[in-house]
Amino acid sequence: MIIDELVKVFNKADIKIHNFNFKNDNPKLFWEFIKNQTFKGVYIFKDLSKDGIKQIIYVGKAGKFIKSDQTIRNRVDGYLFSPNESKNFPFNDEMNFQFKKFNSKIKYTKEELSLKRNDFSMTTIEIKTDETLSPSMIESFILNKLLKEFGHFPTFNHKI
Amino acid sequence: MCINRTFIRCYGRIFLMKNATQFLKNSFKGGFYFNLIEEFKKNDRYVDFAHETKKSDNINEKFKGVQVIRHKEKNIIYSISSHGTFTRKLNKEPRTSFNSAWKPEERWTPSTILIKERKICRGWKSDRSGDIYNEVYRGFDVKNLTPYDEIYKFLLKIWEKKKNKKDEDHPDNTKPGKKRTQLRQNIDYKKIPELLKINPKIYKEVIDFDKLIIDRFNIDESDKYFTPLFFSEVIRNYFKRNIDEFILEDKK
Repeated sequence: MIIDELVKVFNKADIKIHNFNFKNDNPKLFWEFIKNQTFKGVYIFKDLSKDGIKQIIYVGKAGKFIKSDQTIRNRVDGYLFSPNESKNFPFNDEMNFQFKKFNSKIKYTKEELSLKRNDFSMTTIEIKTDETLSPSMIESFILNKLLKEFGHFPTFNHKI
Repeated sequence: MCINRTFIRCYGRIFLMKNATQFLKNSFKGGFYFNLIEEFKKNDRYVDFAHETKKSDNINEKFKGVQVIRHKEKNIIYSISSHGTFTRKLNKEPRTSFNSAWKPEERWTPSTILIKERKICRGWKSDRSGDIYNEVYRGFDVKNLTPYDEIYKFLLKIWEKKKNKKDEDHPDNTKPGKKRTQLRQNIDYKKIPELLKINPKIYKEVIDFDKLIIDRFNIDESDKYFTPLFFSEVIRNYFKRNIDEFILEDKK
């Protein structure tokens, strides 16, 4: 719903939406999806077992207003286990999707960081133009809408 | 075009802030910023803080919202800052009030506001200015880390005050570079005005309030539409998009 509003505010030349979930995709395609996020923008992690807007569990950003090297691909790496850390990556030994960590002082348990694989979904908002809008503005817009209009503070966000 | 002429051009235009989406859309229209000031003025949620300090000595320094510091005549925006964020408690529950009612002037780097002196100071260089501070008030030579005993005692006190003490931060275990950083970071902002009188060059630039407009948009926890962070980001993007008209000194 919030993303639909964003699409209405900006035109296709400015932003593009990308989605991934394991329901229809081969797990190997997850890494293909991540590999292709070579642009600046905003990434949203979702837990599809929850209802409506509460599915959004984390909103993050990559890159700047001006042209910058930081991409969603290299930002997202820090949230996931690497092949050296987990043989089934991005899954844990129980073959559930598991986040490695979030940038927060708050410690989460393994259970809190795990989702059934088909419940995990990720949406990215690609910002296609430089010097039009910043990833931090889009990130704060989404978090602002979630909190002020829906009373929702995504589980893994620490600051709004 | 100077800011005040732009202001006059846009004055009186109807500007509605129905919600965050409408606000975002409006930020792509000309005159957005000055319409915003008008809208907030109408609702008694706007203050020109520089002007306010002229009228009264009894200034409430605590501020929740967004502050924009700009030059009165030139189209220079010196800073855009948001004050007030919703965070989580350690038990993971979201706080319903802002984490702290922060006083924007309670910092010295990279810039500061001296309310009593009615000045903003910009361009604190931590190595040069921090070293002057340490030399004047603490009698430390930061470059050579002398007198060693005094510096050790001082750093030990900082370590002891920390809630989350880590062995690697103990002065026995820190390298000279980290010691210098700690000395430069632990400065009492209240002493800055006095130091400025002795050493005016501790800041690159000092600007009198009379040359400035300090826009303060009041946004508290109960605001229906906005968080201060989102509001400030929209304004920052607006100024960045309109670089033909505005010089944005705020480098965020």
